[in-house]
Amino acid sequence: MIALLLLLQQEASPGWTFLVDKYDENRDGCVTPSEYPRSAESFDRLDRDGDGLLRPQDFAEEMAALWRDQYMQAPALQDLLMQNFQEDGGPGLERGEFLRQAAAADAGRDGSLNAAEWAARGLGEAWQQFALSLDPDGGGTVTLGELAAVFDRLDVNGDGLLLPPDLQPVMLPLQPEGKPLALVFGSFT
Amino acid sequence: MHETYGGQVDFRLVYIREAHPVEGEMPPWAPGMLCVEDPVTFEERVAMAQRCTAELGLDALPLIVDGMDDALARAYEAWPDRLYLIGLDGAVAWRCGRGPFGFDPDGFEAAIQAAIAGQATPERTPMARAVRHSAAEFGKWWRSLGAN
Repeated sequence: MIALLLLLQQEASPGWTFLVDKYDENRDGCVTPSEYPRSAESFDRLDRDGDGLLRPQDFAEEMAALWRDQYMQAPALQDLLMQNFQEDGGPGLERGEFLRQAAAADAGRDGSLNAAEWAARGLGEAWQQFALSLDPDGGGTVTLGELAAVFDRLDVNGDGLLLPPDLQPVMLPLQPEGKPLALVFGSFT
Repeated sequence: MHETYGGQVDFRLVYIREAHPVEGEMPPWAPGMLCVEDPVTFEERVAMAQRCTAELGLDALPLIVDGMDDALARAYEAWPDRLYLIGLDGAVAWRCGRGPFGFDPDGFEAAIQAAIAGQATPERTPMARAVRHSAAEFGKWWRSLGAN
């Protein structure tokens, strides 16, 4: 495995090869903003080291294969919320229900939840990991306000109710017409 | 599957935001991988979708192109790829986990067969089995979605 990674690191990134072939007009080995006709936003996304030029090192982080794999295995946030915050087994998770459960877990009444408070509530390890990962300063706590923001972000129609996708036909835009509907989501890459 | 069940089930290919564009969080990393740029207008996205179906031989599937607001991908939690079966009542009869690890074409076919036979669809692929990330990695993922 290590040998494979070293081999891949020595090869030019396909993304970089694509860009330099397409945009490096003067063939000096880098792409300047003036050579790049697409948006400045796109340029900035490509210029990962922020030095104002597109160069091979902007693609150096592509080798983080382990990170990539684990990134793709992140569970659906709604699933985690439903599993850990629903009180009544009803069809969805209400905002008030969610915030009550979060506040009830705040044994110290300091407006935030620490690892011990999560554990005391018997919440699943997955949720603990999720909640603590939101902790911006690494102090081991997540504020109730941050958790409310999580809910509001997921509540796309703003009705204060999160429904698992399995139970939310009203929110799903694509509807069947006389036959079951098979949806295949994907992209070219 | 479309050829086999297309008479009894309506298939739709829903083209959504590219998974591995060169400007993306996970650009192509291995030699030989397809390199495309992330469409920045709806017209570019439609053109990319048409190129995708043509080069992958998917022309027979009716195509839906998600808007630049990624409304469909967000509503169905479908990025980077996912399979859904919607029953006649409009509810989700079955879905797999998010791709690539949750992608489950075998389960999809079983669900289609059950729907055609008028049976209850099999239980969907459980997402819980995929919880193997660390807290820090989950945080990166969360922030990549634009959360504060």
